[in-house]
Amino acid sequence: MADERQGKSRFELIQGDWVSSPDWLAFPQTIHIRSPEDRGTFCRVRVSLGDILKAAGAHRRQPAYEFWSILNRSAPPVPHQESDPDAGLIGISDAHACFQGIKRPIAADNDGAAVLAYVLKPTFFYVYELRSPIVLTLKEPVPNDLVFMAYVRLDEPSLGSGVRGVLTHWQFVEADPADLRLPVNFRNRYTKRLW
Amino acid sequence: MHDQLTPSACNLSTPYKPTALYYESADSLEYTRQDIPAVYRRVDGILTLVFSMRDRDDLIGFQIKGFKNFYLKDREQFGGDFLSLVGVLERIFTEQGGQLVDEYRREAYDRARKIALEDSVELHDLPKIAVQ
Repeated sequence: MADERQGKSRFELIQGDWVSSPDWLAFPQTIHIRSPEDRGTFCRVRVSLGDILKAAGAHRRQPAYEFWSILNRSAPPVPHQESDPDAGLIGISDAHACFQGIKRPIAADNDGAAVLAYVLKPTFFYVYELRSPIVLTLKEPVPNDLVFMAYVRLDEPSLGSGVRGVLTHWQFVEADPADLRLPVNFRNRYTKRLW
Repeated sequence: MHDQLTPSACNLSTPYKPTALYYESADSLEYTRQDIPAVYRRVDGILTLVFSMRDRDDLIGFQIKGFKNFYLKDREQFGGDFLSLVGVLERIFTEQGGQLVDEYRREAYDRARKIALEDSVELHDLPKIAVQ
């Protein structure tokens, strides 16, 4: 932790063909988020398993690492030697702002009106790196000029059972220079701010 | 195990080979040269450029959003079992107004097209035909 406080990363060296684990792809079916109508209450959304597994199938691991360490509050379930692996991580329920309407087509929704954009400000996240044959798992600080966005498409109509929609994708975007806790151009890139 | 997964997906030692992927839930097509932490910079409602987090000047890929709508609309013209992303980007750019778009967007489309051209990027993973 001392290294992390100083902004340095701890390297974890994992070597060999044995670096194989189905656990790192054992994503939860659903995840709790703050309700779009009321930040003080929670609801559940499905996780877009098809997309994240498709990426993993193409050996693109970083999106999954970001799911685990920024949305699910836990280190990726891969072999590592971190003594306190989850320290300093956050989850999607720590979102501090929520917008609706992403102003772009998404499937049958022409302007993304049914899409929520949750804003998070992670301090640390996990990074996958392969320096063949060595697999590096790095816990790195997040640059302060970035925020992390998680997008949820609401079910319309609602499918009931307390599940409101699907967590479709997530990504880092640059923060607004005037408010480093919000995405750049936040006043224009979404239809409205919910909280 | 999910049917989209090959056994090697669980092996963290298998190198990433740059591949264009269509993500159904996000309705976006994405191509990145590297599997590294990235920053997504929105150009407009269709195109996003992807930069390395460690070097923000290093463009590593692009994302085409709302791809399913676009593909279904022009599917018959594209034909075939795969798409050249150079052609896709050129068609989208034309639909966006071509040379009439502002300089920032024009340059962004040029940069994405350059990557698609240099890497001969093709999409073999086409969206499913049925509209959601």
